[in-house]
Amino acid sequence: MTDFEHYVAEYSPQLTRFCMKLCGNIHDAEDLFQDTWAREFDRIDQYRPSYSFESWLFAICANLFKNSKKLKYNSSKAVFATQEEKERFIRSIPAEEKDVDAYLDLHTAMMELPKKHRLVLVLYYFRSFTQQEIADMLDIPEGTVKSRLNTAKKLLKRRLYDEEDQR
Amino acid sequence: MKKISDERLEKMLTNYCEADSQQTFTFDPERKREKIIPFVRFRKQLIAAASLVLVSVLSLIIYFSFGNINNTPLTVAPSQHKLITPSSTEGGGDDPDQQDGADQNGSKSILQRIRDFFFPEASEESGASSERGGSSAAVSPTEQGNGSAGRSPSRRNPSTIPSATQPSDQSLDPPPKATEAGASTPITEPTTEPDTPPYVPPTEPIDPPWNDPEPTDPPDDEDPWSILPSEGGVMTGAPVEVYVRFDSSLMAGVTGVYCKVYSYDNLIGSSDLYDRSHQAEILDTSSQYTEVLYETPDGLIFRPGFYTFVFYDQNGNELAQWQDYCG
Repeated sequence: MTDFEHYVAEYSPQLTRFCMKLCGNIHDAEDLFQDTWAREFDRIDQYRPSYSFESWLFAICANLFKNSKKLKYNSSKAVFATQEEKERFIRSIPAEEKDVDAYLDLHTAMMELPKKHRLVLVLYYFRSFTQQEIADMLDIPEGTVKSRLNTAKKLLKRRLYDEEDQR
Repeated sequence: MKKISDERLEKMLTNYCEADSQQTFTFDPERKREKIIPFVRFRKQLIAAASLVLVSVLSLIIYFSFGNINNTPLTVAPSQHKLITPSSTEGGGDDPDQQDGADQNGSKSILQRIRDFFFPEASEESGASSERGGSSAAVSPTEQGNGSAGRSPSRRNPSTIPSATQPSDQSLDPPPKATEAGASTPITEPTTEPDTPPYVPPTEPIDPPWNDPEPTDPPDDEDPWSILPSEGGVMTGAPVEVYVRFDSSLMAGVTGVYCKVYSYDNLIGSSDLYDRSHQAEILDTSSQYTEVLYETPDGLIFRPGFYTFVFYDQNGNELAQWQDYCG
């Protein structure tokens, strides 16, 4: 097994979940997933082992998503492309959480966030990168990362508030 | 009204992330992409098909519109076909385009309508030119009703054909051109051709065939030997056979007999002694008589009257004379 195959086997599950959180549907996520590995394969010679491969991989995926056209990786407005996808999401909700609908709303609200806010939110909460790492990854100031993160949370709260109010 | 708190949002996000991290679902990097959502799957195909349809529709619109402007209509409606037939007596034979603009509002092209809407003056001028096409129909081969109605038949009337010494303006008018305004009907329409070609007066009188100085070389397209009844002739120049018989003693040393033909002392045959076209045929030679048959060349004798046939041998010695009436 080559180094690249080793990387694919090790980081594919993480990259899959990351792409799913960014794109919201399995089809765009699969496109982003494969494009990321294709880009990695092309630039594998530029990788320096002193640098974290995980950061390098997710930086490439994040920039692919950020620099893509508006509808690329975001072609479907469906929160769940299939019923199986929705059931899988519901099964992933912790058992102690009784309010499944709240998580469905959270997922829907995340998919409705603007791309740049969604990207920062997913990198921060789902990949546990620091704000400085996110700034370096996206080549933006750290203050911008903080701003986008706060804006994303405000938008989520507003959406969840409205959902609660309608309910 | 229930407002979600920051702590609740943080907790939900954290739980959501923990649950997500436990997912084992993964993609196969080498698997062929398979899109299930119809719109996603056929998005490019739908866009391409829509673009193709749009381009096709635009092309058809442009083709029909500019086809009418360039006077190359794709189809000719039955009414239009009726209008451009030569037998039509309607005046102002406009071309199909002008007809479209004049009396067939329903068949106006889209560009024509747009042009009429934004440039009414141009459309009025177009209508005026259409009217001019009717009044100046002298240049339109399809128009016979007005304008040039008096001129076109005059060209076909032999009584009004001007002579070469008296040129007329009418006869010197140039023939109608297909590129002129009134003649812009499709050139492939056979009914738009002029009925008769423009008359070109002769510059030199044609000599009568009987004045041809070379009767043995008539023109190919005429029969110069035909005699008018007013001159009393009924012959058509058919060969005349002359049978003579003379003493065989004259034939001593004679190898060939020739004949000269005179009409009232005028030589009408060949002056060449050895012209083989005037050679007689020796039919029979006996101890007493020699029979000779002479056949005049075709067309030599074409007028009734008396002719003298003089026979001579190859040396020019006269052998016999014979006078006969031919008619």
